[in-house]
Amino acid sequence: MRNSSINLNLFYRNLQRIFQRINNTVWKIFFVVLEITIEKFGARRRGTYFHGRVFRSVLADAKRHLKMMSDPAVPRLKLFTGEFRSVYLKDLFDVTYPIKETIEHLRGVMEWLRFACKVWCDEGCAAGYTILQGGKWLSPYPETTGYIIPTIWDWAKIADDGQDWKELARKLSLWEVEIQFPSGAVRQYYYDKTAKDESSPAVFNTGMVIFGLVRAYKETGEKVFYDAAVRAGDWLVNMQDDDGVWRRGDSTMPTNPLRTYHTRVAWSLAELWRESDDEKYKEAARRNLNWALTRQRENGFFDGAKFHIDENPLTHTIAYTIEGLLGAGFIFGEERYIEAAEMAAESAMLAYERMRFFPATFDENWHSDDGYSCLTGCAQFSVIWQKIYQQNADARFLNAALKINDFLKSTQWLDAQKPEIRGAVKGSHPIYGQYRGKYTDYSKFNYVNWAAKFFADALMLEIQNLERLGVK
Amino acid sequence: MKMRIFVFGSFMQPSAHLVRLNSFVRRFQDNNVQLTGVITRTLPLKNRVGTYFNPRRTLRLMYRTVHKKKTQNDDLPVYFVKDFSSKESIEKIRSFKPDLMVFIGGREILKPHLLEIPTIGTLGGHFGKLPEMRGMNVTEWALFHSKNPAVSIQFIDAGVDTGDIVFVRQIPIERDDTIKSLREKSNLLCQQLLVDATKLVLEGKCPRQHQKPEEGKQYFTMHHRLIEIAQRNLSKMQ
Repeated sequence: MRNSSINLNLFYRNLQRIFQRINNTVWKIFFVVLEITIEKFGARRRGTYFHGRVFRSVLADAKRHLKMMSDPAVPRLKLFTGEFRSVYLKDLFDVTYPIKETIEHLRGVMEWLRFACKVWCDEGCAAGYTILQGGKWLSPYPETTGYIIPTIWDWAKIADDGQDWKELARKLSLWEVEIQFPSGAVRQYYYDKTAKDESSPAVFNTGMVIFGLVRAYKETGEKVFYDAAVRAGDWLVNMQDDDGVWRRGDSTMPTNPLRTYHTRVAWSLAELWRESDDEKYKEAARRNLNWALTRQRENGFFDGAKFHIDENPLTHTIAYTIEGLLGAGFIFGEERYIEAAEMAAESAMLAYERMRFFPATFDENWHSDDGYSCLTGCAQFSVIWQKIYQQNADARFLNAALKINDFLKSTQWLDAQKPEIRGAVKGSHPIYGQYRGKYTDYSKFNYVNWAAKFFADALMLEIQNLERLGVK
Repeated sequence: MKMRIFVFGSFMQPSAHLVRLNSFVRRFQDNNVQLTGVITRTLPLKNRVGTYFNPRRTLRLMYRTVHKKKTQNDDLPVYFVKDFSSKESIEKIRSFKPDLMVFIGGREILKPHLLEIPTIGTLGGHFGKLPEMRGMNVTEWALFHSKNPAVSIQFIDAGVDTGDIVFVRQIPIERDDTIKSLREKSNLLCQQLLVDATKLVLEGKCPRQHQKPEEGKQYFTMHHRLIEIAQRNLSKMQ
């Protein structure tokens, strides 16, 4: 009995060894095949600077995908065909696109923006392109078209066909004037040609259109743009409460009543003040910015920089808040606005570097357990960090911006056959957002024009900053 | 009473793990500093598959190499822990009753409950000038700012390179230096300074200069475009 027991132990031990060896071999084969597949796709993996994420993230995404597929609310893979399917699968397995010269990425995204304008015959820039329902363009978006106009003017100075771009920017500006309400306000949400002019006005959207109008006036000198900007500015001043908050007349979709990201509206008023010298715009802007400063915590976080109550703010709306303070701070030359913006931007930068990933949302302690990114927020923060670098010469900000730009470049498909997605920037990365019992995402399955705009801004700044440092 | 000194650390790549651990131990032995033991970490799964390396073989090899190099009268034990932050590992390390621990490298941030185990403290090296430059890639960051790279020895605390400073030494730049060679120089200097600091602790003469968190900045992995600038600055400084 004793002997047979020993033999049994030996047998089990040997069996265990054999299984271990098989197990190791299977793992090796699996990862070698995976690597070959990735190489064959000619793609580059996320995590260039952050080693060790790749394998874990592939496995985690595969598990997440299996969970997702069991939910009837989730669009099924079989709904996507051709390149849409490829986009979905690449995101699922964390396969990214090759990073090329910065100018190529910039040209790609600007050509996509031009396409998004052309689909509506230059009457506004399409809000985006969705890969759902077989793929279709969304309606023009007055708000984002407003702040896309300055980007087009900037690009026109670099592009070979600059005159065409200038013409496009002018046409978009004229369209903004055309659809402006008589009160000077701009409608909320997308523009619908067929609907009667019943859309309610929106403070934020009006502010964003001022950027385009003021820039068009600066570039062309045409009074029509100046008058439209003044009408919009006057309406904003009238809608503001005494404490500097805009409680009335804003988009009805966000549920947050006290929107700190209105600092970006204040910035637009600062731009208008610079052009018109009318003190009422400056006072209104400062009132709002001063109120926003009272909403900032010691760690730089802004309360109320979000669309909806009971959710953590998106990096997109946090960035709006910072952009407003920074932009207006530069115009007014007020250090306290710039310092407040820098404090928040530094906290976000440190969180990004420590996490080695830029999540879609942050809580009040700059923590997040999101597994997806809001690409618009990424691009906006790149712009913020680069502007701060230009201000204080702290190269850590430029470093973070270059890394996040590389990440954004790696999500941009420059070689796609379909021009609708070639060079475009997704709302969420992965495109389906994140599945945690229910969907969390930012504009899932869409390529959006505002992400493209901020990405283009970020790349133009990258080129400028690296040129100044003497790096080609 | 004899002081109980443990060397501990881990490296991401198994081959580096083997070489660096061994060279550190030898340097202590060459300087007649009596170590009580070596504590190291078993390598995580991602390294096993990432490098197609057999971890058991690596650790066996490492164990053998350390023992082969040992002096005849010194039976230096090597202890393996899963990581440096789990409860079991902490308990295991606590049972060794260390007076001084010397951290010889690794990417993990050491948790406070590990750092409070040794009665004197935990010594660690940093490839940058403290308190100015904390964090990662500080050799490159120093060159980016046209400054000489440096090595600092500190008593590690819970923050990132915010512990009490023991030594700061600058590295002179020579004609043929590259970023890689400067990192190697930093590594060698760091090893020697750790041994020197340990000796001073044994003699009860180790200096401790307190640093404030706001005195420096934390740096992170440098983007390759900025490394180009660091390299350009290096060639100007030669």
